[in-house]
This record gives sequence, structure tokens and C-alpha cells, in this order.
Amino acid sequence: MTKNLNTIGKSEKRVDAKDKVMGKALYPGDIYMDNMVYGYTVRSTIPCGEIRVDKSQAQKHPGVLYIFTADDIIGNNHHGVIIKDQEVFCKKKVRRIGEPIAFVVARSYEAAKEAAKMISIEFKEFTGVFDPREAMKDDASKVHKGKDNLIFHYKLRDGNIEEGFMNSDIIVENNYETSMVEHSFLQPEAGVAYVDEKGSVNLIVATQYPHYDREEIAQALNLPQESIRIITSAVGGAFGGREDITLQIHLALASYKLKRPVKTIYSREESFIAHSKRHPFYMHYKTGAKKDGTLMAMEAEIIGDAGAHASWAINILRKAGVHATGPYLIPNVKVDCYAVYTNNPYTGAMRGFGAAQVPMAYEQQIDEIANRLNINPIDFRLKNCFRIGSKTATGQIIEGSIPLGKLIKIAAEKIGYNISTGVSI
Amino acid sequence: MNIKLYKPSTLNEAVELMGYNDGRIIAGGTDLIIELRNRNEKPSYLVDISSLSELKELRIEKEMISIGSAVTFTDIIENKYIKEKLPCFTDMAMMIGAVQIQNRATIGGNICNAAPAADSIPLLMSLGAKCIIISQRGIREVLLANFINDKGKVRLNSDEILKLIEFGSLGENEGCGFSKLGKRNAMSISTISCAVKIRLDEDIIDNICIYTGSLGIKATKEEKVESFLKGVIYNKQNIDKAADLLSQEVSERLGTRASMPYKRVAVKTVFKEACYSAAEKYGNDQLYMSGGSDI
Amino acid sequence: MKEKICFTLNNKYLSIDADLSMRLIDFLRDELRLTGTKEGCSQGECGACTVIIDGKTANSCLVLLGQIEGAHITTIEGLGDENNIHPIQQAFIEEGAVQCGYCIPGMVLSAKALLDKNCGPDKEYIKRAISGNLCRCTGYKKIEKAIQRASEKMKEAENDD
Ligand code: FES
Ligand code: FES
Repeated sequence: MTKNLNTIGKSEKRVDAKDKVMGKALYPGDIYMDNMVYGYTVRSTIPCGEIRVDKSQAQKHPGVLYIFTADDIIGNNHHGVIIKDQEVFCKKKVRRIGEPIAFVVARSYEAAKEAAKMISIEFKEFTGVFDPREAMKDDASKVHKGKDNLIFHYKLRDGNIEEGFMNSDIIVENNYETSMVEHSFLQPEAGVAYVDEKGSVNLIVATQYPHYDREEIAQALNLPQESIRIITSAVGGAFGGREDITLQIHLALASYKLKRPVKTIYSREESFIAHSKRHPFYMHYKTGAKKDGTLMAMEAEIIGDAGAHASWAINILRKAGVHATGPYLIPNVKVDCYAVYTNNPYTGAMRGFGAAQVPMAYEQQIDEIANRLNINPIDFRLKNCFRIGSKTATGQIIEGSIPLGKLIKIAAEKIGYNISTGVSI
Repeated sequence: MNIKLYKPSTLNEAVELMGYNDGRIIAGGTDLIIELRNRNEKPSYLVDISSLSELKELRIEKEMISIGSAVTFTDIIENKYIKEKLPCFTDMAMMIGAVQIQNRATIGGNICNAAPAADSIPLLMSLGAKCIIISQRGIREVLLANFINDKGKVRLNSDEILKLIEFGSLGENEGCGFSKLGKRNAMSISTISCAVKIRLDEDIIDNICIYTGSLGIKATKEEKVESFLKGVIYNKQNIDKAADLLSQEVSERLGTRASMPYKRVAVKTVFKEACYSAAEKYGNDQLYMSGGSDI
Repeated sequence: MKEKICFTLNNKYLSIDADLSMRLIDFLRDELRLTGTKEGCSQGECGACTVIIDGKTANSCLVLLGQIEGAHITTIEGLGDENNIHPIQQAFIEEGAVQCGYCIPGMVLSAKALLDKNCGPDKEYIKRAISGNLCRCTGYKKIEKAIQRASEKMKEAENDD
């Protein structure tokens, strides 16, 4: 069937590979324009509290053109991929370290940084909440005023969980935790915004979502989407870390107001505190099986630390729930996933999107049961893994390809384990 | 950065330049440039000594090895004599940063920055290295172990330049080893490092000098372990006992620090590796095999 | 505070007035607009800013302009051009060793410094040569293969001469 296809099934060279090996591909930091000025972001240094900003001294710095704060937002000061809970500039409250407070635009990057130090910010620090399990309690302080810290609860029920455990000969119960992870894409955030002859705001940026960026900028600047153009440059890695807005609105706003090209490049340190991270998970798993190695029941409670902003927390915790059983057939399943606000750095998309954290729990459960039942973990996995026709806990019938069993066999062979005799060589 | 940069063409000129106030030496620059960018105050001028031929000499004589302060780690790696006679020195140099850093970073810079994790320092200390320091006032000599004070700073006056370091070549029955534990292979800063110089008389440890790095503000001479090992037979049992002793020392020294439980255990293997490689020429392969993996 | 400095950049002799305490990377990018040299960390950790100074690789974020007086510098722009692409660059394309590309100029230069010295490096040499170049996308395997392929290409070309 693939015979008549031009591309599929063939190893094609990347269209942009040549530019990239020659150093000609343009990332946003590589763009220089006439009359260009530079922006630097002033951020919260505390995780939770109130701020009072006085920019009057800094505004007098000879290199400074303008210092943007929440007062300069004509449109919507809020953005966010699902829930608009991130402020373009914090107005009164800060909810995490690194939340943007002001954007200093100056003739040079050094001047912008110097002036940034002259902005006086009065921080009134409150005790924040840093453990999502604490944050879920009724008396926990609220990260967003008037809003519950619980962003989302995903519920999955299949079969009869009580019966499942009752019919199990062995039950294994454990807690698992995964840590926050940084994407560390190699190219720190950068962008250049300018207003073209037609009066449209153009933004050259390395982004994963040009269409979202456009929408958010339009709302913040109170402009029709037609007068915003996002030009996606070469992107120096993203891995999910460029799905949320970082510098997009700041640059667009500054160039729109000043009618000059404005550029900014984050340092590695700034990049670390500016964008999202992978959700740390707190997982409680209870798995039951029969003596012969048949999985009977699984109950999981998964709490994801969303940090100060929801970003993709809903989708990520949902995905974690869908993948909570792993590729194993379990007739009785109960899963509860919670996405919770805290005053930690915010978390969002990162390769795997919630499906990457749960294997640590379900695979170790499998190992422990196999171990306790004295069954080789390879045989145990082969016995329980999904096959064509299997029904997952979410009710999906697997009709397409599921080569897992085959892969386990190949892997077993390579480590010298003979499946038919159960003997490792 | 808007700092005046001088490029003297002789050491004398450099010394003269350092005679004025508030200058800073720049050699490889691999630490200094980061520091200059992070710091608010700036030196009034920089004196670049990285290409002064007088400081780039690597002299190997029968009894003495002397290394100019502007010798880079790549210079050391590429030196055939060092590789043959003092392989631990080559190993150490290859573990610093990665190629780009080795190409620029100098031995003098590594010493004068005196970072607790500077890899060359414990090794040079175990070799009994001396620093030769030059200024307009003349030349002075100081033992490297005394050159670094308890705050982890070098005792170098603002008008002085570290000219070279020197140490005696290894004798017939002497050996030296270096081992380092980092989080990954390249670009890693030592979590623990250890250097051992050993002299054997038949199978008796005649003399031993042990320095650890990254376990305190500066490289530490492990005197208790040394005195335990002096005069005993060089065998697995005694090295194991010494490792336990060192582990105890380290746990006391690090006290309540978060890294203590880990370092206390890890230091044993790092120390044993350094020991075995120091005594390698005595053919302790078997000893190494049985000792290397038992923590 | 501008002063005179002379050096050779991509085979061209340059004599210019500049702030000698400026970092080499800033000079290359901001003054000469040679933006193929990338900045990823500003600390000597990532190698995206790698250039070749007198045959040896260096992180241009950790070199001051004044320190390269009289030196020969090669940046990625000094390798091949559109119609005459360097065999290392060609090998990177053919092996699919390029993803986001941000590490690639530095990788290619580290490979060049290696192959200029050692025309048939084994895997360990290749690994060591690029150990100061971080890549977050590829997993390095294809880059290693590309360098191997480049070394074969370069040897062949030599034999043809
Ligand atoms: S930018 Fe120079 S090493 Fe990363
Ligand atoms: S290709 Fe993206 S960092 Fe290497």
C-alpha cells in the first residue's frame, strides 16, 4: 500500500536541516532591527504576598523609555491556556516566585537591567502553601482569592473495586512521589516585536502555539486578532515548555505603545523561573492479584502539584488517570486524580503530559506483586498485558496495533530469559 | 563590560601592572568572566596573563616538575611525560569541565579560585606542591597547603601573581592516585574527590598522604587515616579499615548537612579508588577488583 | 573604552576598535551579526557558543575579546557555504542528526576541531570531543554517527586528491 506514497515510509531530510547546520536558521535572539530597544522583566522574589510597585525613580534612568506594569494593560490582564489565572503583570497579589511584575524597556539591555533594580517593590509576604496535599484541605490558604485550590478532580470507575480486592489473594499498597522537572530546552526564551507599516503588531517568537499567543495578545491589548501577527521563528527546543505565554504579551504591548522594535532574551536563570515545569505527582497505589498472577483490582489516588497557575493541569491529570493502570488488564479499577494549586513554580506541559509520571508507580506495583507471588516479573507482565480486543478501564476496546506482548518477548530474549522454560541464561 | 584590559607581553610588565591598585588577573577566564557578570562591583582593570610564555612553561626535570600558572588543562593532558609518569594528573585534567573548558582553564586559575570542588588542589597538595609567587617586591614560596586559608581563599596579595607550582617527581617506590565522584561524566563539579600519594617498602606502607576535596571549605588532609595506614601492610583489609575510618571522619565533619548520609558512604569508594590507582604499579588488580564494588 | 585589536576570523584578517572586555560571543553576534554562534547558558555549561580558537574549541561566552589578539578564530559561518557545504555539515544532514538545531553549530565545530586533529576517531574520542556540547533533543546517537560519517567522507576526499 505504501508503494505509491512519496514521503511515508521513506527517510526524509529535514527541510530546515541545511540552514541549521550552517548556522543560518534564525531563532528570535538572532533578529536585529533598526531602532530596536530592549526589555527586561522584573519578577516576584517571594512565593506568596502582596506588592506595591513604585517605578518613579527607575523611570528617570536616562536609558529608559518606559516601564510597563499592570496599570498599562488596557485589555485583559489575565491569560492562560485553559483557565485565565496568569496575570500579564501582577497587580496586587503574587502567587509564585518569578511572576512578572514589570517590563522595563530601555536603549540597551544593561540599562534596562540597571533601571529594574531602581524599581521599588514593597513585598508583604504571606505564608503560602507548598504541598498540594495540604492545599486540598479546607482550611488551607487560597492561592487564588475566592477560588478553591482544587482545580480539577478526575474520577474513573470500572467494575466493582470492593469485590476486586475481596477476590484478591494478595494486595500491595504503596506511596510514590515524582519530582518537578525542568525542560531545559537549549534556547532560552527570546522574541522581537515591532509594528509594521499597516499598524499591525508583529511578534517573532519561538512558540508552540502561535494561534493562542495571538488570541491572548489581542485580548490584553484590546485589539482585533487581525492586527496581530505571530511569526514563529526557528524554535530551539520546547518539550512543552513553550506552550504557555512568557514574554509574548510584554513584547507586543511594548512595541505597540512605543512604536519601536522591542527585543528581549531571557538568561538561563530567568528561563528557569519563567516557564512551567513538569507536575510533581503524589501517588497512592493499591493493587490486588490472584495467586496465579491474574490482576484483579487497582485503586489509585494521584495528586498533581499545579503550582500557582492551572496551565494544562486538567488535561495532564486526566491523562494520568487514563494511563493509571498502565498497559495491564485490570477488571476492577478506581482512580481519582486531583490537580491542585500551590505557591510553587507553576507546572504545565512536558513530554508525556501526565503519562510519564504514573509508570513509576504502576510498574513498581507489578514488580512487587510478582516478587511476592514468586512469579517472574516478565511472565507476570505477559500474562496481564493488553492485547488486541482488550478493554481498558476507560472502556476503550483496543482494535489497532498493540505489540506490547511481542516487545516484552523480544526484550526477554535479549536479556537471556527463556519465557517457555522460565530460566534465565 | 567596559573594563580596561591590559595584555602585557612579559611577566615583568604584568607584575608592574599589578602594582597599581584594584586590578584583577585574568588567565583562562572560565570562572572570572561568570563572576564579573554576576557581580555588581567591577575591578578597575584586568591583566590578561593567558598568553605569557613565561607562565606557560611545563618543565619536567629529574627531581622536579614545575607547571607555569597559565598552563591549561589541555596542555597537561597532551603532555606525554605526565601521562607516562603521573597518569593521575592526566586523569584529573581530563575530568575538569569538558574539552572547551580544558582548552582555556589554567592550573593557576583553578588554584587561585580555590573552589572547594577544584580538582587540581587535593591532588597537588598530596604531591606536596609549592607555589612560587612573584611581585615587584620579589619572589616568595609557599606550600600550596598553606596558600589556601581556612575560608577557602588564597593568600595572595593584590600585587602578586602566582607564577608556577612545583613538586617533586615520584620516587621509585612511590605512586599517586586521584579519584572523583560527580553527578555525570563531563562538565561535572566534584561531589567528592580524593588524592592519595603512597610510598611502599615491600608491602609495608612507608608513607601516605591523603587529601579529600569537596567535603569542606577547602581540601582536607586526612591525618587520622594517614596515621592509621602508616607502617601497616598494604592489603585490602587495611584499606577497607581506613575507608571506614575516613567515613567516620566525614560524617563527623559534615554533621547535620543534608549531603552527609550520602557522602559518608560514597567517600569510601572514592578513597579506595584513589588508593588502588596510587599503588597500581604494584599490581593490585586483584585487590582492586574485590574492593571496588563492595560499598 | 575602545581599543585596537587584530585577529583572523574565518580566514579574514580583522583590525578593529572595540571594547576589549566584551565577551567574544557578544562581539560576534551583536557587532558582527554572526548569529550562528548561540548562547544557551552563559556559563560554559552548554557549548552552544563553541568556536575554534587556534585549532582548539572554546566557549565564546567565557572568552573576552581582548584575549584573542593575534589568534585564528573559526565560527560556524567559516565552514561551508551554500554551494560548498562542509562534509561535517553534510553528514549531520544525512544522518538526521539535527532537530531543533540550537546545539548544532557548536556540535559541528567541536567535531571539526576533533577531525582536524584525528581523522579516524573511535567512538570514545567522538564522545569526549562533544562532551561539552549539550543537546536536549537528539540523544546524541545520531550526532555521533554523523561525526563518524563525516570522518569517512573527509578521508575519502583526501584519498581522491
Ligand atoms: S553559552 Fe557558552 S557554554 Fe553555554
Ligand atoms: S538539536 Fe536541539 S539541542 Fe540539539
